[in-house]
Amino acid sequence: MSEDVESKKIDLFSQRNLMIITIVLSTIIAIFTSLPAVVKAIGLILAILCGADAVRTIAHYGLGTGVPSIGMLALGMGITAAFAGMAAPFLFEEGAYLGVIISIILAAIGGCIYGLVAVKVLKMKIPVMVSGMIQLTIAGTLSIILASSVLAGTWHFDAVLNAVVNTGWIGVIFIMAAMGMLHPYNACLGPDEKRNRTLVLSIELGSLLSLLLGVGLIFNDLVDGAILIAVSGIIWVISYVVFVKLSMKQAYEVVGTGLIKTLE
Amino acid sequence: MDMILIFICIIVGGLMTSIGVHLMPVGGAPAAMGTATGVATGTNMLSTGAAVTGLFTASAVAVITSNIWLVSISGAVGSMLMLAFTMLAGNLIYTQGTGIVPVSGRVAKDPITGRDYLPYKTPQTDGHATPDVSFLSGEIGAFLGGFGGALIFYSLVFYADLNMAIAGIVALGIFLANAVLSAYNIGGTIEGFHDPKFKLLPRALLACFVASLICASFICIVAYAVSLGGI
Repeated sequence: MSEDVESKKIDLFSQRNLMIITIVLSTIIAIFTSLPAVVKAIGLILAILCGADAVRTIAHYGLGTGVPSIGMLALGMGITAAFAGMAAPFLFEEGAYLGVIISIILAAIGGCIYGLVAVKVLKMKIPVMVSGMIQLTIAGTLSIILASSVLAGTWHFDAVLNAVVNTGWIGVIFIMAAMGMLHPYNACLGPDEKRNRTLVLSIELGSLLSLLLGVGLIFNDLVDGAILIAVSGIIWVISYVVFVKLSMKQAYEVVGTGLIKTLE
Repeated sequence: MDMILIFICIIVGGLMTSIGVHLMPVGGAPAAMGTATGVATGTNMLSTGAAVTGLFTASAVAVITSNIWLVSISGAVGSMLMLAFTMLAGNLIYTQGTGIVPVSGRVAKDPITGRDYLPYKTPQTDGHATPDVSFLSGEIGAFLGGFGGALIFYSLVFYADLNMAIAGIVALGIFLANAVLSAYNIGGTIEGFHDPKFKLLPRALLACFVASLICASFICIVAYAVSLGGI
């Protein structure tokens, strides 16, 4: 069976490797706030990819309530931890970069306790619940921080408050980041679910969020916004084409209905 | 800023959310095919819809008054209206479109209005649409959920001194975290307080207490840091 170049690339990464790579890269990108918006958007896509992989691992065992719940939980926890981390630099005189680290530590603690509660109190029979929850809440926190950082230029509380929260962009970020994590597995769910297809769909949704953020950014910063829109548009087109091709290749047979032109 | 009041409000709000979610009639995917009682969506989607409407009405009232009861009850009323319209529209589609009557799958006779359900139930299904007892149960659940969500919102605005926009989105986050834990306890479908699954409530209350405690401590960090930063 011949495989795409894209799918081969993703297959090289196991779940653990992908988690470490995405979290470390996104954290480094989030710490340096002076990076251009495009780099932050790539960090955002990586964070969403990490979350989608965690959702895939947990939801594989069957949650009983549908996959969307776990994405909502990740962002619900993530947004609280992210704001706690964003506000934390007020507590110190120096070392503002600690905010991201504090966010991640808080998210990890929160995710760990949530996972333990779900396993011990609610008696859910999912062995990877605790580790998956930690990964998921960290991904949620990082995606909120990075998306706010793209729009506001920094993730400090006062800047985010004016540029992201008061303008209402936080709602778009919240639901689109949740969608990027929960939708891929929800859409590809089934006995024929393949990891590469699920993850490509998550990259597609992440780039769609970056595209929307670029539209918001272009009114403040023409050059950065334009580059962001161009790059995320290219990523979106590529990932969409790869996703459709993978779906067609992994399907038993693709039959046209005659209503629209069938792709070959 | 009152740390203790923030903790009390968020924990009480989280526990009310948990009870509210258990009372909502949720059918999930089977209800979409008309083979289970309740609204045809997942637990957390339904409670999120109710919470967003409740937070909207609560924040609208919080602009003009700082009375805790007015804000909380307006949030509860918003949630109740949303759920009532959802259940009514669902019932209209089931009765007029699909041609099945609202019937409970768990009880033979309605515990409140005394209507017979057994003769109208299609064999091998788990009930249809939203019958009287589930409708009432859902309204009580929406009241509690909306009240809890608005209470969290109130504590964030008036005790933690946060901006109203940030309080809204953080209150939604805390609400979701509690609602999803309750949804995992239910695991699929529930009809209301007459459902046997309602007896699992104490487990969810303990889980939501822990979850709210974490969220409240995060909020305390935000509130303390923001008061130091002078925003």
